[in-house]
Amino acid sequence: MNMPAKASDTRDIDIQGSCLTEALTETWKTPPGIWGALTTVDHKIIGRRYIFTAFVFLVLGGVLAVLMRIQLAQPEARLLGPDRYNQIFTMHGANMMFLFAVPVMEAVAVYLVPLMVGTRNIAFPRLNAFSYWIYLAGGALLWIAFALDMGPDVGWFAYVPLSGPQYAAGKRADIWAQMITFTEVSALAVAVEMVVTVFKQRAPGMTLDRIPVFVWAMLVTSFLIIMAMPAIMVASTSLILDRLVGTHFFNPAEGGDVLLWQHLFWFFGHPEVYIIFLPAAGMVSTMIEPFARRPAFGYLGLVMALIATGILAFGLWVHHMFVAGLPRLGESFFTASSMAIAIPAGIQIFCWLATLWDGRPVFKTPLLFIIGFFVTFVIGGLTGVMVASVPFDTQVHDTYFVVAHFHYVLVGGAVFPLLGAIHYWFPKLTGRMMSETLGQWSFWLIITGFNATFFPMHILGLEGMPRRIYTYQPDLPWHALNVFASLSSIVLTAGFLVFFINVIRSAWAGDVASDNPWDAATLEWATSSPPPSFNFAMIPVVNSLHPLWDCRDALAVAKGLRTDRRELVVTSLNTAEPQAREASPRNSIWPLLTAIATSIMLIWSIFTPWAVVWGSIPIAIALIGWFWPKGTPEDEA
Amino acid sequence: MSASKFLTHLTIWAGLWFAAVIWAVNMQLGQIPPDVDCRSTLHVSAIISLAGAILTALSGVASWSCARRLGVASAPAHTIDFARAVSALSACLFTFALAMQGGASLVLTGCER
Repeated sequence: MNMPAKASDTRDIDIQGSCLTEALTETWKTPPGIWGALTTVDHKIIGRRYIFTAFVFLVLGGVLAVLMRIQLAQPEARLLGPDRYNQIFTMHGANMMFLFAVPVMEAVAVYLVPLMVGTRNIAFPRLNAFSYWIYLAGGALLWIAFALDMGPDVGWFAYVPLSGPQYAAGKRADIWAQMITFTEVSALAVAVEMVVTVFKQRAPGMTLDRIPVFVWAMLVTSFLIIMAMPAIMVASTSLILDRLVGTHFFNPAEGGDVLLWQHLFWFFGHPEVYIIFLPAAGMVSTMIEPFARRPAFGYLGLVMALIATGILAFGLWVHHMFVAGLPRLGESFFTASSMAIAIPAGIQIFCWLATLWDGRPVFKTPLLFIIGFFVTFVIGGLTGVMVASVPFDTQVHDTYFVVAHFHYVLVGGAVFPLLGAIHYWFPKLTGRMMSETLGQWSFWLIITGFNATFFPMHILGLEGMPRRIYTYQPDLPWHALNVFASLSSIVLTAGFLVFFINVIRSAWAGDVASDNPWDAATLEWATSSPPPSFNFAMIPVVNSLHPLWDCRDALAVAKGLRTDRRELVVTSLNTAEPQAREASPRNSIWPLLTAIATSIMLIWSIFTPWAVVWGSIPIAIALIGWFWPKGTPEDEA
Repeated sequence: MSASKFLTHLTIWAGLWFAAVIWAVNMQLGQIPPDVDCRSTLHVSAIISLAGAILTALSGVASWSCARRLGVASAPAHTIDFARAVSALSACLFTFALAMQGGASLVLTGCER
């Protein structure tokens, strides 16, 4: 497949072998040193950075969880006072949802999706760089505020009127609300990049039915983000306006509506669960193939399940509001949808089981985490069907039963596949294998510790232990199970410790990985480990769903791209036919400067509304610098 | 894109987009007719939900049966087959959700708070 060349161009068809690699390296490289680190727009560097930062937040959130478990291990403990405990459970939830779970899934996609679709960089790479810096700023805002005893204390959901001006003096609730703005801007930016990358930058021949399931999962997830996250941004901005300039969006005395907050929050909040789960499901569908040594069973069903789950996710939010006094008939509609969504989840589980059943499984660490995911997620899904029932939910609402349920869904449904994915794609990221022995140790410690910590919480909830209490009286029947859960959390912590030791040790001294150590079928394994800055010397052409299995000798390639400027192939939506050669932006400092200007404006606006006016000026200047022609060959496009 | 090609694409994907729209509309209507249900013996919510379920099922049938007949010259057959199958299967799921909602409407009177 050749693309026409102009006389002045330098094309990949004009040069061969190492000369081609050198030319592409020169064009696509990130300069060494601090300047290169600040200006890079390479999706792999930004993806790695995102993943590392998200795991730092996981560790911080994990420390808070351990503190809560120590506090609850005995009745009337005095390790934490009520105020600090309120901050800690709020920080734990907000951190894990907004700074770990969503960003880490997007981070993995930022790294992998361009490789899996066979392109050289993500769409809008400067926006990608901006999204990382703004995410980092949002995380820093939250944690610095916590360190200064200004951490939010209103729960990760910040219900009004508790978080409104009447009951939440100071700036703690504003910190929460503005952190939302940071992280949602970041997530929305990545979602837009992802949609455009998947729609327009797929390798020639990668028709809709040849897209890897993980890429489908990220496409659906990105649409979920685009449709769900504006709701929470509207909500948090309205909250800031209520608190700062005296609007009354959530003040019933002045015509506002408290329930409006719950509707807006959960219209975002429930799809958020699937924003976290769907990428994990995509990871499982992709990882299971090389370990079952056969194609995933039911590709069609898996894709349909992802899309249908993504749509149904928007019809469940009221099941978080069953005790808010809405009409029962209306609530029953949400119960019906909540139960209907179990079907696509079940389809996926049965497809994965059929894949293993009909395959020749190799029980390496990634597959162990996948099996752990099956067990844990199914338990979480079953309790999910239970709490989708209004009478049952009314009984266990705001108890530890719900805490157990959502940890089974989120940790079982997302963190286990993620840990498997880290083991699986680590060789691609670093060029080294993770230790199998340490991997198996971490798996068994984590799955044992997790179940021993969280399963008793179901019983605690049924015994009536409420969520978010900082202590309890000795005469209540909760002590024994709390001690057991707290001791078990040590095992869970030890499992994560082994995992991190494995990551650090393997990054320095792991066995050197080949380009495709798992004999996998997707395109990211068609390039070196780790990949070069330009990903592929020649853009691959795809003729099947499993290109590396079906074309073992040599992939067909598309030729004719320029080597003297950053260029990639734009293809059609349905059939991925080549349509154009498109320039990809070079490195730039402007995304960082724009993120700094935006951060100043957003933080300043916690204190005065005038910050929006004056803070917009540096942002406008930074954006002008961002889009100003740079006199590079990429400007020609 | 010509009008006929656009119509073809709409039909292929009808089981997905049309079914989803019907389901979303019914979700919202589920908050309104309960008052009507409460005041009369007619199960308005159930009628709307079950009518929606029928329409949704028909959209799935349309996706499944029309794609081949209409044809999309620029897309290979395996891609069209994939699209219509995803679409028709999605319609099945939304039909089930709407039928469940219709069933719930028959059980409740609309007066419960």
